[in-house]
Amino acid sequence: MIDGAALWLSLQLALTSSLLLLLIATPLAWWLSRTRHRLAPLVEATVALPLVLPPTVLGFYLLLLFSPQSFIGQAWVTLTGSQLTFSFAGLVMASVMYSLPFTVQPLQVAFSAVDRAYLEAAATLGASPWDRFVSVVLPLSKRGYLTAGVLAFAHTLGEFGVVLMIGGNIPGETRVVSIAIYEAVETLDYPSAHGLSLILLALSLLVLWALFGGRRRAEVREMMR
Amino acid sequence: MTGYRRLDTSMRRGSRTFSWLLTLSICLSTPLQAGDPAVVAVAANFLGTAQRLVDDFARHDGAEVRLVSGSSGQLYAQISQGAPYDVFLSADTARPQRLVDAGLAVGNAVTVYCRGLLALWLPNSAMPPTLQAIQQLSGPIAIANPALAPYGAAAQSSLTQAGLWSSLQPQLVLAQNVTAAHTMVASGNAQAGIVALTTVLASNIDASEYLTLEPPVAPAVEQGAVLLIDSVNNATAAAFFAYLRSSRAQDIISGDGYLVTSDLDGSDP
Repeated sequence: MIDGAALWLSLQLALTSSLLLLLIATPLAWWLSRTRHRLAPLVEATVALPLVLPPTVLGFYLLLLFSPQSFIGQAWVTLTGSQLTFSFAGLVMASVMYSLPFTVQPLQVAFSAVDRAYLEAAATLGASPWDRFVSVVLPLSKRGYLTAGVLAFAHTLGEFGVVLMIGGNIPGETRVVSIAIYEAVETLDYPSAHGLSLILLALSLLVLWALFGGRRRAEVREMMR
Repeated sequence: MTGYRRLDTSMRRGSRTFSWLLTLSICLSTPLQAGDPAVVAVAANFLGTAQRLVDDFARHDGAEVRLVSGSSGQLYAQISQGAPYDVFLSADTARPQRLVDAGLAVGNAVTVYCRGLLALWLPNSAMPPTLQAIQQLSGPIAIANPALAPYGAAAQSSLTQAGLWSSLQPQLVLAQNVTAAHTMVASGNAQAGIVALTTVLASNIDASEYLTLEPPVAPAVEQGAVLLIDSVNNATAAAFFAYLRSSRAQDIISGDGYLVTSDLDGSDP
């Protein structure tokens, strides 16, 4: 039996997390690409840390961090009235931390490649910093955004170890497709496992294909100009 | 020319280091005693006890046993794909039985090497830990996933028997195994949990915080072992498999909070 609810939940999680990630990563990556602050390398290293920790280990520490007995978990309960672990909101927060390096790094590379001369030209024409960012930096960083979005989406879609630790396998809330596949494998229900995996792979292939195709077309268009 | 000579020397030095490392690694990897080492695949919940068994076995029988741990389902999948294990200590009897049925295990029956008990753990509460008391909780209650873990299935059956299974549904959170359910309670994320008695004992939980769920309140979880068919000629593996039911082994197992099973399958070897 194909667990459609789990697939749908994974898509929602991946979409919500990637949008949030792009919002959060933009100022962070911009700062990192422009600053000469001596703490910048430390911030860069901190952002990269989720790459080092195995997901289940990261999940274990998030379980401690999000617990109602910890400061963050307690604050969340006070603010929202519900618990952060075993909830969709908790999974979104975890995914954002987990996929942050995959979003920040492509954006930082894109921002660093933006020629300062364009920004200075825009400034002499009287463009405000915000206007310069929106009208100059963003169009020039389109490809960086595409890569960052794709990586964040794909990485969250396949997320497993962290969810396993802090999810609690609640249908429609935290039971994402990777958990459903894991459960099918563990209960020797290989047909369901194969079915779900195939759908997940086909879906990811389609999304990545469409995006990379779009990027290629954009590149060609730029060259023709 | 000097460049060449220097390179040559450093290469010679490198190869000397290499052969020294090779000798060291051979020394380290050779067992102290003769005989083939055996590889035992053990369900993660039994790993601590299995380590004590292996140490005791090595002390008395002088043979080396290596442990590989994982979930019973993972280990089963590996074994059915030809993983080089000699003995499989599962957390249930269904998976070893499948190996017997598939002709991958020696003999035609699964050996029950221990029976695990559940404990209801209710920390930081004014109420004494009872199945009725957890009805009054509003927060999450952790059990192992009944579909994945035999301890979860046993927890489900105890809650069903107590008539609480459906009313507790909105609060139940499922962990991938019984140890993870324990972690959920220990970290304060779940208010209560139905966990393994052995883990509760190993973590020195205060006796006022837990209630042992003995049959008939909750079924005991029968854990089964098989000797795998390709290892039928591995003397160490066969000896360790027989040792599991010896009184020495059963003393170690019961010391960790399991019910022992020597009374179930008859004689002590």
